[in-house]
This record gives sequence, structure tokens and C-alpha cells, in this order.
Amino acid sequence: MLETNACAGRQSGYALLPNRVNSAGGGSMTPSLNRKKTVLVVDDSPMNRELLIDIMGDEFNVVEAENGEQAVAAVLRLGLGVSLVLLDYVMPGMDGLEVLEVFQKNGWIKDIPVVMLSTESDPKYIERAYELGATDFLVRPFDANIVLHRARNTIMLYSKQRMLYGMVADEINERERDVNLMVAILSHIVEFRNGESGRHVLRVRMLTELLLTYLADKTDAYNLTPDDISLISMASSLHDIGKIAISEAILNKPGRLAPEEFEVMKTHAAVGAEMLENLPMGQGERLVQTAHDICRWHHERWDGRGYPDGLKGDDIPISAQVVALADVYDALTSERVYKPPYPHGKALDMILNGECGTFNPLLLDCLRENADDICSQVEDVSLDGNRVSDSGYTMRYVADSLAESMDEGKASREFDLMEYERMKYAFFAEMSNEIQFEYAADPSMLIISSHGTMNSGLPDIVADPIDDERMTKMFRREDLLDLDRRLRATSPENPIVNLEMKANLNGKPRRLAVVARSLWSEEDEPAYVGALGKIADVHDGRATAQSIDA
Amino acid sequence: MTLDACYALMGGNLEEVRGRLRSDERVAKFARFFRSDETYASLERSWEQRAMAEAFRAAHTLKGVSRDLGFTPLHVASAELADVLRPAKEGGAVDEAAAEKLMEDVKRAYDKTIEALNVLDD
Repeated sequence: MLETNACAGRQSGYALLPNRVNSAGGGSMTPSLNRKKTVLVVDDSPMNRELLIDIMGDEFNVVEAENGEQAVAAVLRLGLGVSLVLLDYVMPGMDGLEVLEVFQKNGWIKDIPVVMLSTESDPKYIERAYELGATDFLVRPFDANIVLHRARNTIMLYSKQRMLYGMVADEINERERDVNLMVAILSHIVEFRNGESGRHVLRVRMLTELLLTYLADKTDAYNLTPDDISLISMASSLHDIGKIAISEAILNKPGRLAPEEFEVMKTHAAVGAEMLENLPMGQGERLVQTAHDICRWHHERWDGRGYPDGLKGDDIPISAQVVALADVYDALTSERVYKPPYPHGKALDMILNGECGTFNPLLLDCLRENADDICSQVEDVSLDGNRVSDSGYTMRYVADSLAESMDEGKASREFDLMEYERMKYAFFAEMSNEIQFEYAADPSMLIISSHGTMNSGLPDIVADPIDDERMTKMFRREDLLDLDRRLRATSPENPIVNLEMKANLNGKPRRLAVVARSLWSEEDEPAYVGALGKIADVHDGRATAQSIDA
Repeated sequence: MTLDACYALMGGNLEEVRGRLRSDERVAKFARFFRSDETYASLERSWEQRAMAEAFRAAHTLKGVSRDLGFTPLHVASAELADVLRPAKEGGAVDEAAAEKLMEDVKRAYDKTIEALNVLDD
């Protein structure tokens, strides 16, 4: 059972280039690098398959399957590369209806249209096929014109749908990004007075998101949707706004706070909440409500010994519970005016031993079970403040909502093709000892989508790579220029470039082999927009880059 | 022999096929393919073994193919046979006597069709 990768997406690189290649059409999910769409023909009779190939072969790329099992295998292999399936009913092994069932169960039916090839005039079959989500029927005997038109129309309908999903998701994504930015700026300002750099807010947010994700995986008790997680994480940025009302003398006192000073400090929770209550607008908004809960109660504790209201157990909203834990963990592992940063192991122990108050046992389990992951992800935030809530939530959420609203019965996605593709890609990339990259020409940007096992020390994104210091330390500038020149000299029909270059990998001279494929725009006169490629270390002759016959 | 003559010989409906498949070339191509098509052989085999579900599938496929190519007599015969064998798909019982007679009809139609196809110009 494949799980949705709800944590901060690591595959940011992969998502980037396809959008650029199809910039005119908004964000479509897969780059249409081949003009011919792929049609999967599923029929046990070679004659029938041959006939359909004969009819469709000029216009489409036809893939054959003799039975249901082969059909499913083909879809797993090609994923959303399949634009249409023509499916026969009567086959040995899995019959057409059973194939449809698989499609429906895995949610593929939402992305890939299936047209039944029918000699079955029995209304029972027809109805069942429609129930299972068959898009349409092609009645036998085949009429070449009808087959072609049905195929074209069906594919066009679905691709427009996909494009719409993409566009809507992009829109929402951008809006969310802007909001995130505003919230980040605001909280940075708040933190500024404490002498913090705003990292605290980002780390707490990251921790909140992680803990909520683990919690949602663990239990349904809190009913946390991806939307909820996104919202709570965003709201967590406001948890300390009450500190604005605290005097600097107390906020930045290097030593221990005297009891009356501590009492003043504690008011930041209630004060922050009050500020949100007194907002002239937005009172009904979920964000404001959630931020209020977090603000007021992020110092409450499970046993009721927190402040300001002494709430106990699950009386404390889960949002506040999680932020409380995140806040404590971050405080322990960061430097403060009154203490140095503790190592993660020590922080974990202190929390689990109850030295920072009591917490929800489920939350503590989440913390303990995922300690390593949490540690490394939080580290990343410290190094590079940009790793916050990825767009993955929004896009999946929108896609799912749109899909479900078109459904009368809810089909669960047990096997999401898009997710599977991403996972496949990421897994194979990480396993290989090659660097995989994407390059966009304008603006000039190099994206390392997978570092594999090669320790290059290159960051994920390099702007103007040919002039970048880190790049020119590793590679010779003339080699980079040569690669660029050769790529631009290719064509959409012959896009492959193979070359070797000397490089400086961690101070050692190595010989690298580069295989790259140029990318072109969809206009009548295609323009060079970038490239994909991989780099292998062939110095010892052990690793060999596969040279592709262009 | 020309396509027209071939179809006339077997009792097929060339006009109808022409309308659907759009080119004589295509019709001829697939008519020739049918010579080596194994569906009938598989029907015979499964019938001999009384493997009814398989026989149904073969008859059903044969019905579809012969209809696609306008082999009318073969289509009619295999359609009737498929109907009689249909219960086997769900594991039910089949009227073997009726099926036996229809098998003979199918064989006759098949032989006639193949005879005509074998003298089609290549």
C-alpha cells in the first residue's frame, strides 16, 4: 500500500520544468514531449488489435495488451502517458469489467478514459461498464472514422480536464504562497524584538506540520485533513505575537526571570489571543480562529498545569497541543539568550522525561517514532529557510476535491498514478550513482532533481550556472559553454547530446560523462527551452553513463 | 481472384465492410490475415475438450471478427453458437446437442470462407 507523501516534498526539482515547457497552457501534469498520444488496445484477438492498429496507427502510438493483466501492467509502466484505453469485454483471465474494476479502485479511471469495445448488446453489461466509469463505447463492427473520432474527442476532453486541474491548482498555489509570505514577514517582525531571526517561526512551523502529518497517519481521532494541516501550520507562525506587548527588558533578559517577570512573560499568550479577538475583520475566518487557539493555548499542558487557562487533555485544541510541543522542541534545540542549543537527543530525552511539562502521549509517540526524520528536516530549515510547506498538499487536495465533486460515489484512491510516478522517479533517481538535472534556459537555471549517491556538494538550485562560482569550481567553464552550445545545436527530432568532461569533485579530479536531452517549446518553430540530463562519474570505468543512440 | 469475387464466393458483404474500413487495401489486408487467424482452431480444440467457457470465448471472438470483415455466413453461424455457449461464461450448463449442431454449421461456414480467401489475389 503506497502512502501519500504528505511531508514537505523533496521533489521540487521535478515539478519545475514541466510547467515551464508548457507555460502557455498553465501547469499540466506531464510534459507533452511526444506529439503522438498513446492508446492502449486491450483485446485477446490479434486480428482485432491489428485492425485497430491499422486504423489508429498513423495518428496514435498504439500499445497492445492481450488480456487484463497485461493492460494493468502497461498502465503501471506508462502511467499517465496512456491517453486512452480501448478495452474488450470478453478475454481470458481478467475480463473487461474486471479491468474496469481495477481502474476504478485505483482511481485511474479519473485520469485515463476507457472506451469499451463492444459486441455485447446485453444491457446488463453496458450498465455495469458505465457504473464502473467507462467513458464510452465503440460498437462493433468497427467503422474507421468513428473509431478515430471517438478516440480524438475522448482524449481531448480528458486533456482539457487535466489542464484545468493544473491551472486551478497553480492559481491556488500562488495565492497560498503569497499568504505564506505575508505571514512569514509578519512573524519575522515579531521575532525581531526577541533578537530572533525568524528562524524560530519557520522551525516551529516545520515541526508543527511534521507532527500533524505523523499524527494524522497514526489516528483518525482528530480528523486532520491535508487542508487542516496546512492551515494549522500557517497559523502556527502567529503563536508568539503577544510578545509584542512584553517589554524588551524582560524579553531579552539573559539570566533567569524573577517570578513577577515570569508572570508578565506568561501574559503573551492571552494578550496575543486578545489581539486576534479584537481584529476589525476576519473573525469568522478559520485562520484567525485557529491562530487564536494556538496563541492563547500553546502554553497549556496535558495535565492541566499550563497557562493561562489550565486546560487539560484534549480540551486543549490539537492545534495548540502540537504547536506547544513544537515550540518546546525548538526552544531546546536553539540558542537562546539564556541557554545554548541542546543536541536533538538531549532535547528528546528532556521532553519524554516530562522535564518541559506533560504532553499528549500520542504526540510524544509521534515525536519519538520519527525523531530522526524530524531532526534532519529541522536541520534543513536552519540551513536554508525556504523549506516550508510545499505545494504538494494544495495540488493534491484540489485535484482530489475536483475529482470527487464530479463523482456520485466516492472512489478511494488506493493507487494514485501521479503519486506513483513521482515516487518511482524519485526512488530510481536516488538509487543511482548519477546526478540527474534539469536546466531551464530563460532565466538560466540549473535544478538538481537528484543528487543520487554522488556527493557533489552542489545545491539543489543554481541560477546562471555557467557563471556560478560553485559550478566553475567543479567544472571548467569552457566545458559548460560547450555543453550549452551542443544542446542548442540539437533539434526536437535529435535531442540527445553525449559528452565527457573533466571535473573537480570534492577536490579530486574526476572524469564525468554527461548525457543530456534538449527540450523544445510547442510552437510551430520550436525554440530551445532547456534540457534534462544525467551526470555519471566514469573515472574508474566502473560507472558508465548509458549513451543513447540518438 | 479479386476482392469482389472472393466475397461473392463466400457469401460475404463487401460493400458494408468497404464503408466502414474505408479502403479496399485495408479490407484485403485483413481478409488475408484471417487465413492464419487461430480463433477457429482454438474453437475446435476447446469444443473437442468440451472446455465450454473457452469455446464460448472463441465463438464470441469469431463472431466479432467475421462481423468486422463482413464474412456474413460465418458471422451468423458463430453468433448462434456463441449464444448457445454463453451460459458457460458464468459456469452454467450448456445445451450440448444444440451446440454440436451449430458447431457443424460454423465449420461449414468457416471452410467456405477460407476456400474463398485462399484464392484471393495476394
